[in-house]
Amino acid sequence: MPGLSELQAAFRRHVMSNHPGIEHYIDVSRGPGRDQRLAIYAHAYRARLVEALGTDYAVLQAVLGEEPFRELCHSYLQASPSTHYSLRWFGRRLPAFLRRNGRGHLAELAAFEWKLAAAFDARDAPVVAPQAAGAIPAPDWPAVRLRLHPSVRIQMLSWNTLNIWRSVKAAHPVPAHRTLARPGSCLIWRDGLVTRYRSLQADERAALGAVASGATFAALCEGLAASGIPAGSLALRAAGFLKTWLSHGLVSELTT
Amino acid sequence: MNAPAAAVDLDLDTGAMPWLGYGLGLRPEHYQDILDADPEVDWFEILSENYMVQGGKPLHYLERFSERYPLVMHGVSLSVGGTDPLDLAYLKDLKALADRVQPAWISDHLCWTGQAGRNLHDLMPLPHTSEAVKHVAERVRRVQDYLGRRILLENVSSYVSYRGSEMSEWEFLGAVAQEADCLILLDINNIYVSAVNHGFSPQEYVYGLPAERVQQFHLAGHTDYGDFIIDTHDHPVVAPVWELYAKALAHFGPVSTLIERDDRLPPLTELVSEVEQARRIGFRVLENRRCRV
Repeated sequence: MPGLSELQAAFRRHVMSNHPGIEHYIDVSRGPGRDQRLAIYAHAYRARLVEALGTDYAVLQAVLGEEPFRELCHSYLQASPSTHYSLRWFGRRLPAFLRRNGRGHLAELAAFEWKLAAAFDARDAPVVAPQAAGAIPAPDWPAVRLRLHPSVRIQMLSWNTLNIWRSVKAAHPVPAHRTLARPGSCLIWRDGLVTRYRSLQADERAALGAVASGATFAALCEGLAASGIPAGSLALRAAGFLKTWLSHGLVSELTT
Repeated sequence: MNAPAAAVDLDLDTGAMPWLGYGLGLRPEHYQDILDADPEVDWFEILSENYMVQGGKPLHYLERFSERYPLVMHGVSLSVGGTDPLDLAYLKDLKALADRVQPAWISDHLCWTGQAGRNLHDLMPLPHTSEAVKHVAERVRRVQDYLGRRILLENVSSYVSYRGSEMSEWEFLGAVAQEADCLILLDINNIYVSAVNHGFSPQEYVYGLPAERVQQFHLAGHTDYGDFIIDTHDHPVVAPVWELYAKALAHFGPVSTLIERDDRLPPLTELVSEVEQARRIGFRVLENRRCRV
């Protein structure tokens, strides 16, 4: 009988990679065979981690089909075994894994699903009410900064990922993946307890990017000017964004 | 180290941890049904890791349940039998959750869950050796010091046993509990599953434990594969487990009892009826026990 750490190392290697060694330490005096019993652990390990990925990536699983999804999970499990105490984080590297393996459209779908999950249990934070903007005097506006709600995420889109995702969710026939004529993006956030998403125009995405990096309202307007919006419409466009963001619960703080 | 919480002063003789009655494992699928129906369930057990998140729905509902019911925290990631260093990030998150929930107690399993930084997310069996008793007890004591309270350790179902084991599983569990000065969460189904898989007497297991340390029971279902049984938590409690439960209650006296179901979740009413069955058995057995005394 080896020491505890040697025993656990042998068992862990067996469960993860079917590595021989642990069988020498297993009592076979009763019941079904040793290999059959050891297989329960190896099988449970894979099944549990595949199930966790199936929860986080339910649409990817539906698009791929059960068996190809299981194969993908097993490859991922070999490449990126779980190191966190919680299964919640096991799938975080799957989008990058898919990208590295040249499966860009699946990587984008996986990234979208991961961000939905991230928004679902992102940190709670207050939400600024729409009427709060009215309390800020006009001269103060150029220096105003916004802090976005911690659930806010942006996903860049090169493929028809949203169409695919919506089709699976609606149990409609799933369209073939194709690249978009013009790359786009979408916004993901949690509104109360409900996770939402919507498409973003390029100027709104740029404006949200500026806000996220701490830009003032004045800098945000300058950024919009750079994206080709006529100078006369800048303030109106920026005010329109702000109104939408506040009404959608995207803003946690307005500071002057 | 923070000042110890009241639970550390717990006196086993006075049973300072409360008797909670008959409870159910809280699962997200039943959140709204429970809040709407307010079923006859005395307390709920949460899976700690499911609430070690930053916000959103899990913590929203957790707060609502903690306002209405006594809660107990049950974890799967402590790896108290592991040989990697204790996961301090996990312990920190566990303590933060306990501060939020104010649970009646915290439990985990007598097992290891990973090695060399790799997490198997499974409850792996320990050899029943004096080396393992010493190793686990020392880690339990450190965990209890950090959390400022005693913890409960649960017996796991197992499918293999080790050649070098020096004692029975119940002697091992009892020795760890005594040496670590912790309490026991006795899973009646796991006793039954392991008894079938390894060919020991489940009654001998029950009668061989230090009774004063048994604080909670788990009752769950399993899947019978003929040659062996797997602890799947996806079926109702079977008759032999109910019978063993009655024997355990008669032996230990009132022990807080919980129905556990993790997979193939039925409607809430089915699980509540299992809670009711536990309650009926409890009333009958404890009444008989009282009369005998």
